[in-house]
Amino acid sequence: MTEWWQALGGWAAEAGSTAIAHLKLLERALLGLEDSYVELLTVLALGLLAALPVVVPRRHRQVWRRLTQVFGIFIFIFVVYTCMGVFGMISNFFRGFGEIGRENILALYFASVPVTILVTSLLFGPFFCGWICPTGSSQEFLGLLTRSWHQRRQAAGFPFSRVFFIGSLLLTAFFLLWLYQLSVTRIFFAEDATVYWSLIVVVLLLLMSWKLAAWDGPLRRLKHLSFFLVVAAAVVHVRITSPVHFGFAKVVDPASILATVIVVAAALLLPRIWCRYLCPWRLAISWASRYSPRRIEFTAGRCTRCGRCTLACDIGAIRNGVVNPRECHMCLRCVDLCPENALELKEEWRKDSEAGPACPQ
Amino acid sequence: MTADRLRRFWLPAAVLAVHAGTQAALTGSGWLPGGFSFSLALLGVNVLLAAWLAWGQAEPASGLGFMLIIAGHGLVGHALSPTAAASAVLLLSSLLTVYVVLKLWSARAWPQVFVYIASYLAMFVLFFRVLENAEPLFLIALLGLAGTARHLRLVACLWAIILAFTLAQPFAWETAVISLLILKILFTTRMDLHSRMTWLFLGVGLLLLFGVLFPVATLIFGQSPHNLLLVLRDREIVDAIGVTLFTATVATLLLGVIVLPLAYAVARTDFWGKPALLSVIDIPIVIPQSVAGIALLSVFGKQQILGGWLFDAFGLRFDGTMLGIILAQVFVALPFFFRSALAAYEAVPSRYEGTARTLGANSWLAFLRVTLPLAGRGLFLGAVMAWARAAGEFGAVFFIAASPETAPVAVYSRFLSSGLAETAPLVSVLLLFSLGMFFLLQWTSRMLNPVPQDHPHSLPASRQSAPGNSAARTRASASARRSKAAGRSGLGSASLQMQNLCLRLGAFQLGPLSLEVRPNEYMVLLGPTGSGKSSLLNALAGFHRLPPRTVRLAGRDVSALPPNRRPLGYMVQGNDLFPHLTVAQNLAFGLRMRRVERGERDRRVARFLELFRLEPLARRGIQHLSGGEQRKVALARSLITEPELLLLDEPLGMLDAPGRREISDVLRDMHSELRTTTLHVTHDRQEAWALGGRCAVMSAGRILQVGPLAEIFRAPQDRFTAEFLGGRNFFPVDVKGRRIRTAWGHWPLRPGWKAAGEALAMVRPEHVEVHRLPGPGRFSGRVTGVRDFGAFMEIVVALSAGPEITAHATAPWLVRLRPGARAYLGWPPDRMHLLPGGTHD
Repeated sequence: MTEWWQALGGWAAEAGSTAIAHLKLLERALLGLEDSYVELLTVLALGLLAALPVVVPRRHRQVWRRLTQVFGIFIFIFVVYTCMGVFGMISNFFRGFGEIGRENILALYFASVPVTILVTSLLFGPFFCGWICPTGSSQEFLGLLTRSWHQRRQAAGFPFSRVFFIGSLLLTAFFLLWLYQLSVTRIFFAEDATVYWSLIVVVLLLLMSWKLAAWDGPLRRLKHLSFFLVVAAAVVHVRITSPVHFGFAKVVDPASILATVIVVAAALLLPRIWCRYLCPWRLAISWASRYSPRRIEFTAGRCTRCGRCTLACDIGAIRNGVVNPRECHMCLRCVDLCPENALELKEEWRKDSEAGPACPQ
Repeated sequence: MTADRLRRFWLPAAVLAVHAGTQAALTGSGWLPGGFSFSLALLGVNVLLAAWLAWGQAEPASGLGFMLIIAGHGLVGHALSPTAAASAVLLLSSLLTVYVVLKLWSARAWPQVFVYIASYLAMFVLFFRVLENAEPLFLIALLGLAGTARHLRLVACLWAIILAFTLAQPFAWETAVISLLILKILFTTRMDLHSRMTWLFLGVGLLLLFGVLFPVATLIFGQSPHNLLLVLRDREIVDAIGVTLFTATVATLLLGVIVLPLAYAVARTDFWGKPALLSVIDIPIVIPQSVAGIALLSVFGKQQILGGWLFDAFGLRFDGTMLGIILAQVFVALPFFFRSALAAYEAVPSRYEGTARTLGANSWLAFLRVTLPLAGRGLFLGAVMAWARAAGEFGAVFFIAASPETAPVAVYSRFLSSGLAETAPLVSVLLLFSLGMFFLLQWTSRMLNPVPQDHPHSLPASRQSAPGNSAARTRASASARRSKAAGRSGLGSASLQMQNLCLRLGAFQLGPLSLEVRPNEYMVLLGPTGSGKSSLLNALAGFHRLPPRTVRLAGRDVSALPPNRRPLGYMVQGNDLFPHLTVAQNLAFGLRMRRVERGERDRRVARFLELFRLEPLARRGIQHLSGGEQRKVALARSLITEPELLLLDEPLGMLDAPGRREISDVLRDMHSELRTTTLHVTHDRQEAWALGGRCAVMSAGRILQVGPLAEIFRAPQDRFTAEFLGGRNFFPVDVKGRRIRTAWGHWPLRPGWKAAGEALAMVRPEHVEVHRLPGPGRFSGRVTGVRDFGAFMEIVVALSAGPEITAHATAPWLVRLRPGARAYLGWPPDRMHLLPGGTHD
């Protein structure tokens, strides 16, 4: 018996050292950008992470989500913040398709991450936004600090708030000062488009101090503009630097850092402001998840109109219990919080509508 | 061991064991020398799987299948792509593949499963056998297949993309975009009658069409942006584009001056030689452009007669100048503009202009405020077509002026001097430019859509409070509001006199007729269809030329006045509300035309909206109204100008029963409040009964009888009037002394009646009594027809010695009456009516 235990211990030690060796290998792979291991491992991680919400039990789902988000930040810090950025994924998509027929392996490298995000959204719904996306996660984590304040504002129908206005002014001042500092120190690239995105965020905040309730819906269409700008730029090979993209291996890009900080800090005042109004990927993902078999269903009969779901939704996608699938991030907080199970996650793999109009029973 | 335990414990354990075995086999056989990441990933996947099984979210039996497929995939993938990470991607694809196929299988979505497996095999063949070095693409395609499998349409789109990017390679983007467009069109096609043939025709037709348009697509996608930018730096090219823009714009403006009035006139009139004129205008389409150029040159050239004269007299030179280019462009673009403008004008019914005229607009204002806005979009599109045609013209322009170069001429000279490859970027730029301009203009024309959009959110709050009021209260308050409105408005009201009004309309002769409508009177003009009622109203409104002194309004002769100067309101048959205006704007139209100042206009519109209870609809477009609401708006619009006379042409026509009741109530209420002299035309007797007042019966362009309807009903003066008001059973009689005689019976003449000689007698069917037995004053006959109308029975009896008599009777025994039976008819002698006109038929 003892030697059995010893053998087991030896095996465990060996397994441990192998695991560490594996981790080192992983690290080497992540650092070796020229081999484009990053993309491929990202694809794998993405796939696994996207499958996670399907697998985890309902009881501690939000804990699992937080873990996934942390993991996503660590994994994607290499991808999103180092080599591509949000917009880079779109231009890489087009570049990858352009390589088809010439260098197929390059095509795989460039197109795999965007394709994986689209495909997982097609299959599992917009889980990428709610569970994985590092930009969304960092905004959400910072937004936790002010969540209860925001919820009180929401319950009151977003009246004019002095705190919100002063916060926006402060952020604007911070932005202008940093911009000034960058332009003085000459590190700042004047043509760098990222500054404009942070400018838009600041202007949005100032607008929203007055008109949040009225303009929230129309302004969400800015995503279309943002999407088409980035796609047009990708098609004609004009590079638009993504705002969340600061650690590019060789070029230090302080303008991107500025933009990232502004976006994340703005989430203190308005949760997930980037996802709501500007993220071009959000548009692509919401398009893809229209075809997903998974959706949140509302049973009006069970609803007691307690309003918890509306307040819980960071993105403001729920009105009277009905989840707007175009805006939903599938964080599933509403499903988990609903005391009456009026909101449920449903999955329907058979699509009968394609066969023709359903016969009335 | 329970099933639960099996699922929760042993199955995950078995999965892990299989994984360990696979791992060992792979390592032992030397397949995995350096594939640490791969094995790590495999481990991760299996842990995940085990966890999934343990939480009971997957079917237990699927676990093993999962494992085997993944292991097999891993082996194949590892052999194909030796880098560990690529294997990992393959692993992910496999995982998703298996997941999707299992889900589809368990949902019994058989078509999807079949398409999925077939696509998988086809992809395998395509990427491994047909193409070379395409294994990495297989992974992407597989991911795509997993994502789209649930929707067959998405799978079709995926295949379109795959085939475009693999088999149509130099033109991959073009093919992909075009085929996706075609698929989108096919998937969104709606048909009235489902027919596969139509669908197929559409698909094939689109394919061929896009085949024709393919060169355009390749030109757009074929050039790199860099090349295009280089072209734009070329001074000559920029100049050529500038010349083209300038000349095409000037040519279009000139064309507008020629075409807009001419097309209007042609659309609204008919004359000898109109088809020939239309053909002449089409000539520039038919003749070759070079011929057109030579023809223009031979007339406007400096050496030619006309051109020489123009040069000598005004210094205008056409050959080799901008002026010549514009001339050529005007020439070739004319038919395009003219045809579109003609169609645009013809699409606006002239009744809108007529209505505008009766509301006080002169013909110029009616054109400007009604026809032009409604036709505006079509006219603008015509201008866009003309502009595009002018800018793209080569032949005619080249012959009359090869310099300064327009863009098409520049392409030609560049092609001659440098060849195809050099010209391609230039052509792409021009193509993008002209397409951009064209679509921009087309898009602008959408903004010109004249129909106002409904804004449900911006409606006044009163809309919400409308339901829930008790009927009595609304009625009382409405009538209070009305009397207030009437008191303030002080509407004038005049008498209408027609003296020997006579009008010839083709084969139809209206009149001569004389009729007087007294001040504040509501007169109903009753007549069958085709009796000339509407023509009479049109004549009164001023749309037909009348002899002088035939129509007087308040004693004033208005026969010669144009419609906009006659103080009357005219509500024509059917809907003639202006579709480009909202309800409130429709009401305000007449006031604007009569130059009522803005404040007063707004007040009056608000008052009439309130009066007709139309406030909730004030900002709606006309097409969002029900038939009854449209009539109310039309009525309010004709009354808001405070006319001295109101003409109503079938105001209750084409409404459902509740709508008719509502509008006839509104008409009666309005008349009792506003007291406007009204002439109401209808063919419906019930309508006349419901509205009361004096009535005139009209037939074949003449007035037959005037008086209160009850009087006409009881004492019609001729057979037509009697029949039109429901009279039957006419038979000739002879009046001698105080008796009415026929060959088969005789009756005493009613006291107070004076008649002698031949006359026509009438008995209304409801006054004829049907008996089973003979008796005094009853006539025997045989039943020839029995019809049950529910409320009464219609019995037709052929009297033995006399005419056929129809009876409307209600006795219960009549239900059993059959044709051929004998019956006895009788009627009280004082129910017989004698028509003085005799037996004219």
